[in-house]
Amino acid sequence: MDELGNQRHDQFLRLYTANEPAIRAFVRRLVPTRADAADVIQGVALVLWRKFDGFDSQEDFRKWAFGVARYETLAWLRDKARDRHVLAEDVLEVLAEEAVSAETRLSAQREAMEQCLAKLSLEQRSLVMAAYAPGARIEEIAARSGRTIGGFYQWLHRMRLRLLECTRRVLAVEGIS
Amino acid sequence: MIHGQDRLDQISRYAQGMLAADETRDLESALRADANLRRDFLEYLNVDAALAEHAALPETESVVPCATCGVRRRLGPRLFLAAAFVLLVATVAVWLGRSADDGAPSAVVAEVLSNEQGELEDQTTTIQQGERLSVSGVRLKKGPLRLLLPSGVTLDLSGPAQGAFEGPMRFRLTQGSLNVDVGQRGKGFTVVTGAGEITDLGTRFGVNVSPGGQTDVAVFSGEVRIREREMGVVTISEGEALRLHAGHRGDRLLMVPLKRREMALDPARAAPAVASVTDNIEDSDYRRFYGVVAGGMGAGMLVYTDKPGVMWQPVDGAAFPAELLGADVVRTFHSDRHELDLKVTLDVSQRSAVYVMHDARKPPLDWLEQGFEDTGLRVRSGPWELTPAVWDLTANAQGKIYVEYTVWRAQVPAGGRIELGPPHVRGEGGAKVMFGVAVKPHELNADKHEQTGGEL
Repeated sequence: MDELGNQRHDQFLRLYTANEPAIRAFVRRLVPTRADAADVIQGVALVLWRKFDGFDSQEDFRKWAFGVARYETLAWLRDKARDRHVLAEDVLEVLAEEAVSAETRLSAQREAMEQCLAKLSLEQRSLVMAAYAPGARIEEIAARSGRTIGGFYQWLHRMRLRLLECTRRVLAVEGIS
Repeated sequence: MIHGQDRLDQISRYAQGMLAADETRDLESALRADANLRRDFLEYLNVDAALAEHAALPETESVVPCATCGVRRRLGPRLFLAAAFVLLVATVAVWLGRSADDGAPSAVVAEVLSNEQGELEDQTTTIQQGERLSVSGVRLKKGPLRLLLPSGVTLDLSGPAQGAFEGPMRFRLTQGSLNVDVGQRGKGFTVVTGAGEITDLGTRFGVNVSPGGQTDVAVFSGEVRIREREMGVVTISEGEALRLHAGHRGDRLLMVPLKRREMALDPARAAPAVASVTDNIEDSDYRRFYGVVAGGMGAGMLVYTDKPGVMWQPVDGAAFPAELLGADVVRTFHSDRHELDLKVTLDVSQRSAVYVMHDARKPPLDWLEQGFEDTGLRVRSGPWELTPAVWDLTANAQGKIYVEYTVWRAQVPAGGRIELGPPHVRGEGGAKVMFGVAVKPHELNADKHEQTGGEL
């Protein structure tokens, strides 16, 4: 790689690293499961790098990356729709559009998560983090926490709702609509 | 609640890749039509993404707690600092609350909304409805007394009860039962007892202080914040209840006696047949209560603690089954309908019949077939909002949707314990609605209720 190529590579890495959580979250909101999101995001990163030459440095990288991610995610879902229950493309298009418009709020919501996690008890927080840890085995976590798998999923759903409410309160206090 | 509970449950199952094809199509249609639902959908999945992001952070070391093996839990520095900060704020808040509370009575002008059969101690003249009084303390010998405060807060006391105002927005309840409705302007109203402080966050709730100082708190709408020395600050929401003892962590309060005509605490009215309701849920964050309405079964009685507006009704063109009229009603949680392992235990205090109302669209549950008999009776619940639970049903001529139930009966010859199994219908895509429960003492004469047609 020449000097210019190295500079371009560094620039990409810097921008991608800074925006990766937002891109990952964008993809996650369009696919049914976290495992799906992990599948898609690998391809998205590769395509972003391949297309980075066409990226104008005056542009908003996140917005540009969302456009690429949206295209890649919908293509992935089209492929999966043959054997999986995925949402119709027109619905996903609307969701993707609205997610881009709401990115300021959604990004602030993710930032508020740390504050809201701190409001859970140590036990609750440990369990939630264990369930979301890469490679987590839910049946083991459920058993070790003394719950059935179904009971544990229900509990996790209640935790997500509690955290969602909490992040909304934080955003309301901060005046983010 | 952010959105319909059913939709959020559906989104949760979508996010776990567990949604069936027909449910996916149903969610799709709803998302197409409802911008608020799309916002809920995006934010719910955004929370999911944020949690995954946090769990992947190297500084967060999560260890699954184990009650019996004494595992030590360590947190990353950021979370540890955040936790320490929250603890510090909570401690200071509790301390400030206590120091500000000098316990001195303070007079508040209140309007008497009703004083039907209420008797005040040391009161030489009778208090009239509509009268405006300067009240510093209340010693209610018996009966109900309902007061409206300038803040718009309604206090509904049931005698024997005793308490005193410590400010316009602060009432110390030393004994008895109090239902509080804060209205539009009364947010922040606080009830203080020997066991803690209950502050309203925009709601309707009930508090009962027993002679021993134990405090029961049940929330009927909205949420309240509870401060207690050992427990710190916790928030409980609609359909949840806690029992507080000074110096101990609060316990889930499983059974709450309720009034017939409104969602309000009625501790004086014990159900003749239902001694207790318990379940096998051990989650310490689970605080839902079973509402018990003594003799309340009939048309218009609420079915669930978490589905306001869904009431027991007779089936079209029929009277409410006389056999069920006047039975004690146990309100279950509609949101429990997917539980695979739920067991609800009823302690029945006398010779009674226990009735379980089961969704007529689904085949009978195994435990119903084994321990109960089908009475052949039918009732229905409703009206239902258009949710996945009822999407296969058509609305009647009035545009209302009702769910029909089969009625199952088990005799408990001399009182005792009876266990109800899980609501989940295996191999049938789960339950669409939770079962309902009623218990009727054998001695009760249903004919008395026929005279009123069972209307409440």
